[in-house]
Amino acid sequence: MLTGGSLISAFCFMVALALEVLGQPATQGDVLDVAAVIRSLTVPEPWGWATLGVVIVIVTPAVGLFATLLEYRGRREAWLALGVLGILAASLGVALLR
Amino acid sequence: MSLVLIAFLVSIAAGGFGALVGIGGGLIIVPVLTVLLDVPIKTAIAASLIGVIATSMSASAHYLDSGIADRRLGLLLLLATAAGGISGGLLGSLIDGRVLALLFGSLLVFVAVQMIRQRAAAPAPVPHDDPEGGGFVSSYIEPSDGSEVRYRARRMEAGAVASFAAGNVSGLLGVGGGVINVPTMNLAMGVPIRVATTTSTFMLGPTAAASALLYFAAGVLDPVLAGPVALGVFIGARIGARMSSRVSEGALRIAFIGVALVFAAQMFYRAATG
Repeated sequence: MLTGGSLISAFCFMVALALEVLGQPATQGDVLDVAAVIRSLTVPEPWGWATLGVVIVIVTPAVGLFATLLEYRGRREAWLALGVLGILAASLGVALLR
Repeated sequence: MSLVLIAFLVSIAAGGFGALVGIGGGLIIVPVLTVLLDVPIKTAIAASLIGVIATSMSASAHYLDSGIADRRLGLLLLLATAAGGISGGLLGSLIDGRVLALLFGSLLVFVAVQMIRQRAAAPAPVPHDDPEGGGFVSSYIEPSDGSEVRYRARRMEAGAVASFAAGNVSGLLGVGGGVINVPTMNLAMGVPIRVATTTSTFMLGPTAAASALLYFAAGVLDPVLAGPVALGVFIGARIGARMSSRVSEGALRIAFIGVALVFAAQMFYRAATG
């Protein structure tokens, strides 16, 4: 799970860098505007691909913790993973509310 | 050459140097972006956090699979570190960049001093049958000889407090927090150094993710810069890890101390002049 997230995000970053070098439009947008990100991905523009890569990087640790929760069901590690996921969810809540 | 491409190339160098010296890329990346490329310090910190997560993700997969990283200990301390990451990230997005530059310069001095004072040998881990008890017993397979090493991780309260501090440092300054986590686990909690470093690497990802979310939503994190920086640090760390056996540890330590003190001076200058 963690390795997969690394590879996928690295691919997105390489695409973004290549688009930057090729001189694609250096537009920016609101990272929380999903439609804008998708539009930027399809143009394609560096910003969209870099944003996708960043989202994958940020989300992957949470996905890894969720996998731990499932793998260690009923054991102490699962409860600990759930606790950390709760903290990450709190971070997301704070981020969206600000 | 565009700023992004330059940032990518210097990130490879920073990641490689960080891996050679045995410290996280963030300690090098933030001052490089700020001092050499004139990137606003909060943007540099946010970009560095993405690099920390990316590096942690790739390394911890291996450490967890090999059983060297202590998942249970890491998850326990993550409760404190991740919470610290949130408060550090909140603080970092609120306080003035000059204060951050001052804090970062101070951190560089602290790490340089620790390197100067570094002991030749790490203390022995607390035996698993230590009559003082407390904590919990765990074990790992020593890769060099295949033997099982049992140890007792104790003083959880001290570990939790230090982990919360490490999370704050990570979120505030864009570094991994390992500079606090590793000595805490090894020296205060009695965990073998190999387990301490690998478990700390496992903890870095979720910790940095907790604060990166805040910078991301606040619009401080520039994905176009953060992506190549993360990619560069990741590539550089891989190269550095492969080269580590060919380079003198003493020379690297001296080089890092010099670089850290120069960057610290630059950060103090920025804090003073704005």
